[in-house]
Amino acid sequence: MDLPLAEKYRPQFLDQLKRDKAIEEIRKWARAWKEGKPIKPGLLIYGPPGTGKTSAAMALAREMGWEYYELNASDVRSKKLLEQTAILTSQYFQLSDHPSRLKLIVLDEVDSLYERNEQGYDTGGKSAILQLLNSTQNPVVLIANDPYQLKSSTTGRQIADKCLEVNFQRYRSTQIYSTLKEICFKENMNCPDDVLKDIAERANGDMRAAINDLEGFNANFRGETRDQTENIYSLINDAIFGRRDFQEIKIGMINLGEDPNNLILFFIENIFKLNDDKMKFHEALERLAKADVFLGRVLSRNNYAMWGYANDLISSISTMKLPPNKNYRFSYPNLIRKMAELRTSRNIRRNISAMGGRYVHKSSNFVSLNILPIIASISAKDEKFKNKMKERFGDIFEELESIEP
Amino acid sequence: MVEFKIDARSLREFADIVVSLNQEAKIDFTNKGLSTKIIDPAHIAMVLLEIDKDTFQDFKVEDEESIGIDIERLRNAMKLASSTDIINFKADGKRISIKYGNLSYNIPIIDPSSISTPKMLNLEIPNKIITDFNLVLTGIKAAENFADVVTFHMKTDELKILAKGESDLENAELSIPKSLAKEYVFSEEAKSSYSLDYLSNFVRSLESVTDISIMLKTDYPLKIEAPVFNGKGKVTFILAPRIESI
Repeated sequence: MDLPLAEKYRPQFLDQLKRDKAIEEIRKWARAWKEGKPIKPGLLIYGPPGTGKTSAAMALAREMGWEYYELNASDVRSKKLLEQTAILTSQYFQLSDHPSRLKLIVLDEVDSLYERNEQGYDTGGKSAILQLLNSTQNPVVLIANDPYQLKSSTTGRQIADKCLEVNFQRYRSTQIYSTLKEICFKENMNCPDDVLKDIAERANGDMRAAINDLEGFNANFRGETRDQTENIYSLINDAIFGRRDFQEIKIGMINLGEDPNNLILFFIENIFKLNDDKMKFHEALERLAKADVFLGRVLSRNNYAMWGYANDLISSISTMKLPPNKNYRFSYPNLIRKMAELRTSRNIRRNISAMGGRYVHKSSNFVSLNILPIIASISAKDEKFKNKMKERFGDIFEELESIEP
Repeated sequence: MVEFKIDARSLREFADIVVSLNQEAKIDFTNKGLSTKIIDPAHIAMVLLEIDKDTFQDFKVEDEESIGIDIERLRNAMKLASSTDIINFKADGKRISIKYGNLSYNIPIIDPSSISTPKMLNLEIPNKIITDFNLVLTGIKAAENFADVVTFHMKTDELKILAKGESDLENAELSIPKSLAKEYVFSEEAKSSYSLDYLSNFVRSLESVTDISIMLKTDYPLKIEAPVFNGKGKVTFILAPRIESI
């Protein structure tokens, strides 16, 4: 059976992760376990998706000769499972014919255990983890995306106290590029260098996403030349520099199946750097602006026929043949990226605004715009006021502090 | 296709042994009989069960086959059977049908690849004692009143099963002297602790057992073997040792 490439090329050894400093700390922590239970029985690996957190845990177990016992915390039964099995198993040696072997207990995606119920209280996941760390006789690894969320409560800070924290930062695009290159070589894939660079750039530090993109690219476009392929970067590059004519671009945009609202963001992002010829630059932005008006009308009138006019206007940019710029690199729309990054803090803001709105009988929008900034700046200066607010809003108030500068 | 007849009492004992560890089981059928390996969700105990085809009547297996069964459902299907009833078991394609008296049940088969099975262990344990099952059962029942951990301690002339309560003053202890054992192989002193829950669930699921053999080594898995179904089957139970905090 064919494994997905991201699974097939999952790092098997710690050194393959290319994170020398973090790996050194992890090894030190693991060696301490040989002398009995250390002061910090847990290891908290945190970082964005696709940075090798789970792979590191698997590779560590392999290197130390430990059994890998994983509980995926996003499982619905996780809390019960955690209490019944993880805490139980943490007291016993691994079932093995070698004497006294330890096992590595891995709680993946622990973030999902912190989810609060409607009243804003913890659902008990954190205290189960704390109990596990207190009672365990085996090494425990916690894997999280967002360590901040963990530390937002007293129990969470107690958990963090019992863990060595290791941060896995996003991979640099050059690291991703060289990994992709290696995979292409091993898989005998023919993927143009500039596409690899684009994929590496667009992945935003997520190795898994980059490898999946590579696989997708390969599956869809195997054996075809790059000019006939339909992917968002070649289409947009061709459109901007007029390498294909108007009609081809228009059909290409339809075949791409991308929402025009996103597509226009790609165009804006990339055209913006091409301002050498001021007249053409102005004209291109003018057309995008008009296209955007149509996209707005689609929304307000629910008339999707208007997408056609927007598409026409966007594709017509290809007739202008904007002059290439030396520094030009295809890039992913910043707006989409930022929105995704801010999702957590937007959620916190929305929740707290909704709560506040109930107190002052205003909409949550009003609270978010007019009241939250004031509360945040007062509570930064006035300890008493802050404590009062905490009493009223609970733990969620502390989270507000982190998102307000 | 798999088909056999068996008395309700035996099938119930089989289901009880399996359920003492896990709700689902992958059962391998060959023309010699059936066998299964069960591991519990916390991965600290396993059961190996082998039953010869002579235990059954009309045992028919077309090809060697593995079937995933939700044992809890099987037990529910047998609830109304009296222990002397003969149960007609038939697994065909996607479901299992169970018939006794005028009743018939159908339960779905689970994909056997979705059930985790334990790795086979090659245990080397020097100490062994074979003794009366009921004696051991008494020791374990006594321990249940005190703790969730039970310690086995093997000396030159006796095996001790002990449980400590919360304070040092509270404890229960059962001694099986060498003279009461049918076989007593001693090569080194051994002392190890195990989960009492798992042990008592397992021991209580055994019904037709008279003799039991216990193999013990310090900080090493405990192995218990017993003949079941009038000597036509064999059950092996392996339990991971507890890590003693220093």
